[in-house]
Amino acid sequence: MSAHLILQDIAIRYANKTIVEDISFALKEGEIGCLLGPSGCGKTTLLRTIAGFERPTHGKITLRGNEVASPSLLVPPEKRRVGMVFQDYALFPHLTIEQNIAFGLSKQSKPEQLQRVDALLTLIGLSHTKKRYPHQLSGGQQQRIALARALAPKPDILLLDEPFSNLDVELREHLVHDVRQLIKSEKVTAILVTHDQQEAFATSDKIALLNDGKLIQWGSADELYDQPNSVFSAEFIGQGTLIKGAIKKGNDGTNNLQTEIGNLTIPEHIAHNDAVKLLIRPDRIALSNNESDISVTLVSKSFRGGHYLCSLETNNKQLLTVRLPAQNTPAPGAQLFITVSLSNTTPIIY
Amino acid sequence: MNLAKFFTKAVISTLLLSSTSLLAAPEVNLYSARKEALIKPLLDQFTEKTGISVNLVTGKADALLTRLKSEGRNTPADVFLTTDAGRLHRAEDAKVLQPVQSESLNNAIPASYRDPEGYWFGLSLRARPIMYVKGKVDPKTLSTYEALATPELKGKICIRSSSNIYNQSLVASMIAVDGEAKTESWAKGLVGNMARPPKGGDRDQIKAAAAGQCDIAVANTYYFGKMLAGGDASQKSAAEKLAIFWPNQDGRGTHVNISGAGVTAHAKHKDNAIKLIEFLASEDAQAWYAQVNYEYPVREGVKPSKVLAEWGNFKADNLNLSQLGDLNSKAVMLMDRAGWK
Amino acid sequence: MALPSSNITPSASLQAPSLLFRLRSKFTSSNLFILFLFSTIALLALPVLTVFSFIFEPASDVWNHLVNTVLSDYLTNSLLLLLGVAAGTLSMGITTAWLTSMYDFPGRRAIEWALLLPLAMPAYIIAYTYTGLLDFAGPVQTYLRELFGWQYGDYWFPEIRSLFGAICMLSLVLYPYIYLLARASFLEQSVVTMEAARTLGAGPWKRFFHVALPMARPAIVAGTSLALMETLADYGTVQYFGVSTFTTGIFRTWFGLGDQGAAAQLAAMLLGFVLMLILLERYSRKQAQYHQQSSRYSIHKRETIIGIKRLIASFLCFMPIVLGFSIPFILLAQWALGETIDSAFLLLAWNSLTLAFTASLLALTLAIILGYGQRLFPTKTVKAGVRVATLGYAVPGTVIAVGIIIPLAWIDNTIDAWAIETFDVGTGLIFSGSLFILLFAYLVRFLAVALGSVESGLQTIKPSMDDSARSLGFTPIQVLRKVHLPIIRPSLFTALLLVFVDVLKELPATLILRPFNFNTLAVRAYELASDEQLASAAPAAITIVLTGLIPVILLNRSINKSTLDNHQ
Repeated sequence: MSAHLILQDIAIRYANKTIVEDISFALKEGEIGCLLGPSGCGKTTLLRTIAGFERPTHGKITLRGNEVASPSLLVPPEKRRVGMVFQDYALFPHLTIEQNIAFGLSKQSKPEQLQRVDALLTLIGLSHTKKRYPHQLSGGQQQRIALARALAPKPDILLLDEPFSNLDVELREHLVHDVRQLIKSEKVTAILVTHDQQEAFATSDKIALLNDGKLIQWGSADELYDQPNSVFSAEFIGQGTLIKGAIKKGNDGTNNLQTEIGNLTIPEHIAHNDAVKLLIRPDRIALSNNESDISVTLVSKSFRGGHYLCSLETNNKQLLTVRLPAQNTPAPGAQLFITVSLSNTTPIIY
Repeated sequence: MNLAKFFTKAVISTLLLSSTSLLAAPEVNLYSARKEALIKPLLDQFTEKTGISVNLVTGKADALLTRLKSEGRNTPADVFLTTDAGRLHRAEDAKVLQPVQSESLNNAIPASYRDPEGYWFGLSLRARPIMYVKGKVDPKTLSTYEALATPELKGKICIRSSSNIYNQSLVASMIAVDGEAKTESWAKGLVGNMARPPKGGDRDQIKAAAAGQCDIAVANTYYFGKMLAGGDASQKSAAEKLAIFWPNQDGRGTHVNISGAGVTAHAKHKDNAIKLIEFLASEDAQAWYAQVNYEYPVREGVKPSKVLAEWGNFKADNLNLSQLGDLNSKAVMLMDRAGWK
Repeated sequence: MALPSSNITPSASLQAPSLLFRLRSKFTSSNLFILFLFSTIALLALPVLTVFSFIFEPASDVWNHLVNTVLSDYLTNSLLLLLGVAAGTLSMGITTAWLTSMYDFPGRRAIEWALLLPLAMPAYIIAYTYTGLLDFAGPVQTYLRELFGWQYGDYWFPEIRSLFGAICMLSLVLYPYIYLLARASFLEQSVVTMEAARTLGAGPWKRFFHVALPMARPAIVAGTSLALMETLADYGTVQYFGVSTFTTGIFRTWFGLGDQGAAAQLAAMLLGFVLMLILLERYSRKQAQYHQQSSRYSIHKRETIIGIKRLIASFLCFMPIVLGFSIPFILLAQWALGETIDSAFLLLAWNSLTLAFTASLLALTLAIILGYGQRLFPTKTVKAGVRVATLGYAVPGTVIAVGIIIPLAWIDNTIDAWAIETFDVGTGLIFSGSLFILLFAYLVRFLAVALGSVESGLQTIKPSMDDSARSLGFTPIQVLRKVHLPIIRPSLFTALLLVFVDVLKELPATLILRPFNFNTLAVRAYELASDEQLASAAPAAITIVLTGLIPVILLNRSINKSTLDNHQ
């Protein structure tokens, strides 16, 4: 099966300012992709380029086998069959909920429109709001209406621009799940923009991690978590500590990385003079009773419900993050011993 | 903001100026339905001659009348001046005028042009004759206003709207002579003879006739005179294509209305008010009307201007002018019924 | 009117008791404000109510006559005129507003402000000039006749002095109201909402008709109602064109039939009609809201159009300027060339300017009080009161003048009688004998214009902003001064200048109510023009236009500046 959406070498520049550069990725039909990155990384601009509001300065975008954007071609948004959910929902204040959802259905007959609107409203559980106006709905309801409106014309691709950012945390967790369900049940290909990795993990099949206009890493959530390809990926996603190491040639000719918390055999191709770091996730660290293990001091702890997130300091002032159970957590200042599992850890060259 | 301060000062001083003028003496206050340009030169002459300054407000006669009525006892106005007898009559009815006995006025103004009890005095005559396009109409075929309704003139007459007081007065004068029923059928005939739905003013009727839209126009003489004398070459050449025909010379005479004035019931400067009216009836002032405004003097023995003389003498309808006022609303209703827009 | 106290100080009950004295001072200032609000409304509604009160006079037989003969004519003509002017002003105003706010094409910047120029043209002046030009005896037709050797009746030429002509004339000078308000609304509209429409497959036409236009509805309705109310009040144009409308009917009944009661009853009917239209519009809005929900405003970008489209855009925007301003202006200038301008003329200009300036400042102040009052106390009574207080805009100036002079002269005479009895000294006509009555008349006539602007400005401020300022301890008056007024400054400026231009052009009320020896440019222009001395009237007319240009240019600068500010 060929890809549904392909971005090839996309670059966008305004005047002399480069917004994004060298962006390439592809999504299969029905997949949910995510543009994840800190604010100002160019993710919204990229989304708007896919929607058709911006023209790429370089590269091309193919949607369902048709080229829709290149420096010489710009299929306008209204011809692109995209559905979009805006950060502030942008519901039409002068139209009822029903009319809002039916807005993109004008090519269909009235009964068909009504049927589709009813079906979507039932799906999102807001049938009773049909005749109301947007301002009479809560934020979460408005968000779902915006989603239903975007889905109504069965778009080739659904674009969501920070759809959860205006909602409170509790509602967000609830809705993130619902939204994924809804997108999957409609079998629509979607791209979501967010700066929140939890949102990205919970909704997406594939994640594009962006920083400073560049695509840092493209992959599934666990790929990004377990095999960060860069310091940025490692630091941006999940918790953990990066530890510097020195490369030593072993007697048997293997490449060895020596760090404060242990040694690791690393692939041959990593050269002697490369700077290499190891990412240590909190779950790789375990407390031990063996005084020959690594000795650390508990510097601080913060309660995370069910567990504590703790900062440990080695004798060489190297900080490590670890999760400790909520019961019987030692007080800061306590001396502890830990073991670190280094198996399957990919070293990061920087 | 400096500009704001400046304006505020200016406005306050304007406010003060207008009220202090009420304290200055000697003076006389005039509510005039005659437009400023057509009365101010005479008022200036009056001030020059008598030292009495004249304060002026111009406006529509009925609006000024309403103002007079509402101001009541406190009205600043001493003299009320209008351009037709009907309004003077209305003012008299509304009890905002007072009777004046002035020998000089009674001597100067013929009895038919003033109120018998001295409530108002006519100051100038405005004749409303028929005008025809020279060469297209043989004046011998013209006779009376009544004859304008004959079927032969179908589509040949230009006359302005029935909303205009001149036409209302004309029709009122006909009701007085011919009776309502006859006048109504006449009005219907006239409407059938109109070359176009009524629009514009008297000058427009003359211009339309000159341009070929109609052969006959009904208009007041002073518009005709001003077109002939005015600086506008196209108006002059238009007027030159027409000539005046004085209708009803074998009968009651050509319809005339007057402009006139009366002293208000609560005048604070009654003597000055009488002086002003007397001045407006004086020979000099009367000659001015004829010279400058092509109106006919009410005073007998005033030499007519050259242009007026050229148009010839005519016999004016000697109908008592207060009847025009009485019959005015009847005339309007009649024209409504006749479909005269 | 008793207002629930919680309405007045919603945040007060939450405050600590130590702030009790502040609470009390809030209460007093609110009460004072209400008192002031209601007395303002009452005073401004007085003339309209005076006109209405004539309804209770017994109907005279004149009514019978009117119903049997001309009333149906008045009704049909007025309705056709309204429909025509609505169609004309809406199509011109919205097209030009849309094109200049959404697209970039050659000359757009100049066009943007030039489109306001016809605002400075009094309708009756443009009517006179076009008649001079297009009448049977005018140069165009004369030239055609000479060219082709035609005679009268040989050819068809549109009759300028007709209902159609009146519609054209009024549309040409009134469309700027819609242009002005619709443009501001288009520029303020959330770009995101339009983008949402695009992603839903809406092309430019659908976006215009289904999103931008409905969202601009309050602004467009405000502009249209200004244009239509002015149409209803117009006397000069329709009278000159021989179109009998309700307004000419009022005058005819009053002046011709001498029946002031029946005339006022006609005027009251007219007012009832206007009220009905306003209510209908309000009702049809139902629950829909128009202020933008969007908090994130993207930068408004104009699309550059090319080829034949840009020619069409330029043409569509140029036509109203050429027809509504350039042609009549050139004609007037030609007529004015032969005329002399003396120092008396400067005094006229000065009178007009000071009056217009004072009246516009007063109107703005009252509009702010009424607009903000409605926001603070959005009760039915307040809203209805404000509507009645601004109805004066739809009443012909002469009628409103009567509605003003009757109560004011009565008040004056009562005070005078009392003073004579008590002090033995009369006070004379304090109000009705001074410029006060004139300024009052302008307020009654034009408050609607100022209020329209102020209201549309206030609508863009979310109620939560009031609440947040109040919760920070600001009194309502402080909120107005520190929050609302700075935000709606462009709207305030618009209000000021619209009233300025309107007062400059105002004629019938000025004519009747001015004190002795006091003339304005409009009075001079009208007196001469109505005496059919168009050439002599030209210098005054052209000065009105030129003076009116100053605020029009300032107005445009302020709009551009404010939109720039918003985008920074």
